[in-house]
Amino acid sequence: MSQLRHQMLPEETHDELARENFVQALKSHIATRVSPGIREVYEHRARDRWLEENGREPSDRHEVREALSGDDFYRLWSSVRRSSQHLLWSSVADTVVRQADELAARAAPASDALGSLRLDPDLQIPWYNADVDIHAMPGGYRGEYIDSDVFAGAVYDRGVYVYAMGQMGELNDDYGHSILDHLLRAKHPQFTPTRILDVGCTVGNATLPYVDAFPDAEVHAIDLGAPVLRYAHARAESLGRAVHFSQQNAECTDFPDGHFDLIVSHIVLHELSPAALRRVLAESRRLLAPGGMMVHGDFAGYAGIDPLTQAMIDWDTHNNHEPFWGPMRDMDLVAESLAVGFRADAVELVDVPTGRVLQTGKQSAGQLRLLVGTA
Amino acid sequence: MDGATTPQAQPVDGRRFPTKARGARPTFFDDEGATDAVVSIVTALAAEVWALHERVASLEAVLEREGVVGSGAVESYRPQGEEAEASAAAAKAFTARVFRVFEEMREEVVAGETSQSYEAVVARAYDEVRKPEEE
Repeated sequence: MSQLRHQMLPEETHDELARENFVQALKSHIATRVSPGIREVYEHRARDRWLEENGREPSDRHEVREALSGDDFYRLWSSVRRSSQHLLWSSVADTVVRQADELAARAAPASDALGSLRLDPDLQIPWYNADVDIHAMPGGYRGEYIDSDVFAGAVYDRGVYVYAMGQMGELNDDYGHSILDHLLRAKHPQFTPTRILDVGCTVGNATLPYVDAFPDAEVHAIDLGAPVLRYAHARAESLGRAVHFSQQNAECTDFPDGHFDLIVSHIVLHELSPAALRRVLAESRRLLAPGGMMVHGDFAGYAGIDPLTQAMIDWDTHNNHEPFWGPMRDMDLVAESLAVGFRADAVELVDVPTGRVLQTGKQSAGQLRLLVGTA
Repeated sequence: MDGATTPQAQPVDGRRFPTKARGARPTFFDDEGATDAVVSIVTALAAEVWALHERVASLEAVLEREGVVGSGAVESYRPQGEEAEASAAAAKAFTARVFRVFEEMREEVVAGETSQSYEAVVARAYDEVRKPEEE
């Protein structure tokens, strides 16, 4: 399956496409043929070295990381993994830079738009989105380098597709479908929201399935970055979906109390600082109408996972520009939801399968853990 | 909101867009990033070699199909269906060759082979030079 060629998607040259193919092959090779070596290195020498120096085995993921960090196999593996991340973004960015002016011109909002775009040039970008560009994407979500810049949006849209090796579907919309198919339709078939908010929408890739699922609903989507929102708006318009995009901080939006029946987010929680995450939950509570639902989809926490596996997952926290990846996994999201006013019997964690491949019944691709709260 | 906003990533002279993300790149070796830079260069080089490979493969396929290379024929060629699958499999095999060293290292780890254990063999050999085995 290849990515759906909507009007905003940048076009690769032959060699740019070949480099993207290489990045995918490299990432897959590292995951299947190199990464298993870390467990071997740990069990055959790193753990013993640490035991010799400390008189006991490493007891948590931080000590496991310490035990591994001096090992040269671990260092080289880390270095190659990090390089593959740079190669991913630079390969995609080359394509976008070449077409940056044309894409910016193409994104200019039309007067007969189905949805809308509202930007706030005075919005303060919070520290957790400003100090470190998440997952090492050059310029992050908010960098603007030319007039009406959409660079970040184009790099993200194509980069995510290459990163996920197409497993998020031809429109990178799989996480939206996972929530719709495996939670809302499966467990709440009568639930018909009239106003929906997608929080941290980037290019609106997971937003659009909600437009199709609830054709009578008004769909809103917010993000911190202007360039991703310009891109998101143009992308949604070119795909014929009505979405109202606005540049806002999800911790403190300008929507009135009880404005939404459904608030969703897709792999956004792990890009927030823990304090900001708490404020986003509180804001979700404020924005929900009685009987409304919040569904924040992200990856499962560390609880119940052995220290070595935790350390492997936590590699990204320290080495892949994902500083909140580990901290989010240490949070008790149910307790945090209760602390901001959700009722104890109205909050739960639900695991749902992801991957278009899986939804067709063929092959497992992954799992998303949903924090579900009803107002 | 807590904390001040950090300026966005800025490109170096001669570029319109930045090449890296805001926030320091991690280093994994104790040589001020030199080994990590070499790893990056080799990884990028591997991508270039692969791009060349794909270009040649496309060229051959186009030549075979059309008998002659017209203007833009190679550039616009995209493997589809079985061809795309074969190309993906070839990319996997190619990657396995380039990164074979990791699997060699894994074999060493599991076997417990170290430079010390190798040197022990050399030392034993020298030992035997100096002290011929008693008959």
